[in-house]
Amino acid sequence: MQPQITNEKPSFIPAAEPIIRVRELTKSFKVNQRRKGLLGTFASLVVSNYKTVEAVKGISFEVGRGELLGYVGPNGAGKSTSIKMLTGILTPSQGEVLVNGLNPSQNRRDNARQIGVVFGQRTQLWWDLPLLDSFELLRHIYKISSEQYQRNLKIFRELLELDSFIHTPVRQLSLGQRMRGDIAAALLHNPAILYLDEPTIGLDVVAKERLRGFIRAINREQGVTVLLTTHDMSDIEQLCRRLIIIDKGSLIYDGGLDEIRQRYGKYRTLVVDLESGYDDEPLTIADAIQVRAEGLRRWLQFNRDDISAATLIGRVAARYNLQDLSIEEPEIEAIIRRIYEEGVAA
Amino acid sequence: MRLYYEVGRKAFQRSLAYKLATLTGIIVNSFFGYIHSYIFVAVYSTVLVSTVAGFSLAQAISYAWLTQALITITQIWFDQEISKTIVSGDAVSDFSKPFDYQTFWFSKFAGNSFYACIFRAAPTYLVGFLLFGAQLPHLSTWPLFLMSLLLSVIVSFLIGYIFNLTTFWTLNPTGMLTLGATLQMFFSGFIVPIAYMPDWLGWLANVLPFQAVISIPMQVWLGQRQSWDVLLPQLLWSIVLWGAARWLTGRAMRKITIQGG
Amino acid sequence: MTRVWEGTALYFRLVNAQLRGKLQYKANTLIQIASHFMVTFVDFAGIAVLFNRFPTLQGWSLNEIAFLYGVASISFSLAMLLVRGFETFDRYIQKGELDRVLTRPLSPFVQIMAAELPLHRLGRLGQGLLVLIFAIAGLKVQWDVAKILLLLMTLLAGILIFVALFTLGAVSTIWTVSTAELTNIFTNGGAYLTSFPLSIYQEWFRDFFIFVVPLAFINYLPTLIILDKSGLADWPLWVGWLPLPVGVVFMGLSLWIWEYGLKKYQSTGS
Repeated sequence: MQPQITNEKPSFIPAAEPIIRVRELTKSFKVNQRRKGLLGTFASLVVSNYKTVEAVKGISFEVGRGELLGYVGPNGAGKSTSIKMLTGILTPSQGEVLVNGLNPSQNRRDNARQIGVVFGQRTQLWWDLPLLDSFELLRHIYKISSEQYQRNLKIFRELLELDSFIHTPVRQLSLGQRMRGDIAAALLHNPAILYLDEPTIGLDVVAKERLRGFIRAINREQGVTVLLTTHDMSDIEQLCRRLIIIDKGSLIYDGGLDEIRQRYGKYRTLVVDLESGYDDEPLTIADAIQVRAEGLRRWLQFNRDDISAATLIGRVAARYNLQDLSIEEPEIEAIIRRIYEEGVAA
Repeated sequence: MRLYYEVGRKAFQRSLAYKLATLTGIIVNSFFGYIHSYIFVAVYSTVLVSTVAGFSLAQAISYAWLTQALITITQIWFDQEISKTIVSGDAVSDFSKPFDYQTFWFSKFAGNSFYACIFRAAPTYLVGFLLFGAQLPHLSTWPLFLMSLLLSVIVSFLIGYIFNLTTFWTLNPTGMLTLGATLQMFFSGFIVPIAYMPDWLGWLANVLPFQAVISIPMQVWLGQRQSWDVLLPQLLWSIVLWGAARWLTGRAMRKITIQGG
Repeated sequence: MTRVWEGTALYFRLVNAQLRGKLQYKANTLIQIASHFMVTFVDFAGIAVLFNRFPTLQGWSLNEIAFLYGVASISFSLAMLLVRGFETFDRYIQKGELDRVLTRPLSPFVQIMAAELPLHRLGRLGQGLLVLIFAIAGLKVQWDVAKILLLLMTLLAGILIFVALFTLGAVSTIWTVSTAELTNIFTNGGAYLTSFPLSIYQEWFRDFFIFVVPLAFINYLPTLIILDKSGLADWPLWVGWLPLPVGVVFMGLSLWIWEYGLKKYQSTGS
């Protein structure tokens, strides 16, 4: 532990009782540039030709105990590099990380006991053994006491509905079952923090939905702080209240999910059902564009900075006879895609 | 014909892409060439005659380097690519493609052999030539040697192909392929010259096809055999094994169409 | 010390789990063991054939060579049973498995060692034992406690030195591109080159395998004592008693480099 961190005044507003503190976290890599040709290959072995790349550039944030936080960003944004520093896999080049009072890279083993990690694309379970045997091995690896193990096993068997396949070899499990097994495996030692990396990847819609329910329950009932990285924005929408967006190594957004809609979801869509008689006729309304038409139903996109929904409805109603109308909020997916593409200023 | 040429060329280019593997491969081959050379120096130091079973020390050393070169060309450890496609089921779709299955795999094999000849075998033998005085054959021997080398590649392919095809029936390639590769390593005269073997073992080696893979081109290179009839066993085995491979391919195809793989 | 003990206990627990997994495929495992036996058997058959034409190999009889071969083969195969995870270490890095290893509160070294159990290598162990029995049966060695102890120490040192070599091969992939085939020179090649008396090679070559990569201690130097052979003119015979200290130091050194390599991985992630 490094005392100067805890003594220092935080320069930003901390979440309630932070469990993770990240300050000015930076990671730069030296990338070996390979040379071409047989001689080049040989030369690269002897003398390397390096280029420095900053994967993470001075990220700061805090995570409160018991939070369920979404941590997103496009591929190569520095997302997994920063998670690797939080989990103790990588040592930061600069800046500080404190996870539940520990510096993960300096106290790798101690930190390992207080975190659970699930990598969605690969399992930590033993492929040829029944699920229960993997749990049994992890009990010894994490030195979990017998009572604690039995208690947790009982909880997770219920919570994650493992009973029907707990004696099945892992290689025979479906992806969804395996993921549930993996989550239980990561929680057996009562970690304070659970890192979930793409937990829903490859799952079908129903399995995704169930898994989200499990994650929510674990967070609420067990009080486990969850850090969720995912490419599936519906994961975020359904699970997280707070979101951190990383892009090009920097933190570009940290705040509530609702706020992001407010701030970046400028474009909304007014959907109107017209009375008959307007077939095929495109609607022409100032400050709005018809983006779609299906029979009598029309979609009008508008920027809420230019026109309020009420004014727009007034304008449409003044010229056309309406049967019905509704306003579509922009999907978080679309907003975030736009943030990735255009940056925060968009 | 064009298709098979392209398949071979692709295989050649793919091998070419692994430059570092080529380099380390040459180092590994040279390492074993070195050790074998000194084993021969050690055994020859205790005998008073200058040739043993037709090999002088200089020839034995040349043998050490030549075998290291030849095994890369003839790919003496069976390539398991074919059996992998059989296990994975990809072979089924290969059968239904508009090419001759056996010729298709031979083209690949030939492409790899050609690559190995230039980038693995030649540099390895060059090391032996420069550091250990491994012999180069007289210019007049080259046509016979190249013919013999070509036939050795064909026979080696066919043996490996047949062993690979057994995967259709065994479904687990490990045992058969290791058995085949082991027999080939020993009876081709790669581990020790066939001439060194006791009579009964040497006799066995000379009736088996494996001698066509290493021993015959090696004897031509060293000038131990110089008449064209040395190619007869290689020719014979090429024809017999090509036929056997055809027959087995047909059986495999029938098995797939009847049992669905 | 408790950490070492716990690590060992966990190692056996993990290996036992691997074994249970493997035993689900009994027939397959047996075929693999038999195959491996066959391959290595041919290896020794080649040496035997050589002695069909030559009376000795620089003064060494077939049984004496078999002794060298058997000892090298036994310690090599035992080491190979332990280190499969190190052989495929570059794939561990590529597939991100090393990251998983680093998120567990257990020594990465133990985890990698316990990651796979290549049972087929029992085939080579069996072959090595057979060759050693053949060697000892044909030799008139005056066995005493000291010689038996020396043989056991030599086998143990051999395991240490081979495991150390696999570890070094693995850790080198953190610095450079895959060097599996180069590592092969020292491991497979090492077991092969030590099947013959080191005195047959050039001075620089054998000195390399005494000082830099101490493979001379896995069989050759102790064998000179056990079989009462005269060895290298410029080396006193008593160094043959040192396999264990050399093995421990070499293993320690490689562990140190391993730790250093992991640190490097943690700072570069490459």
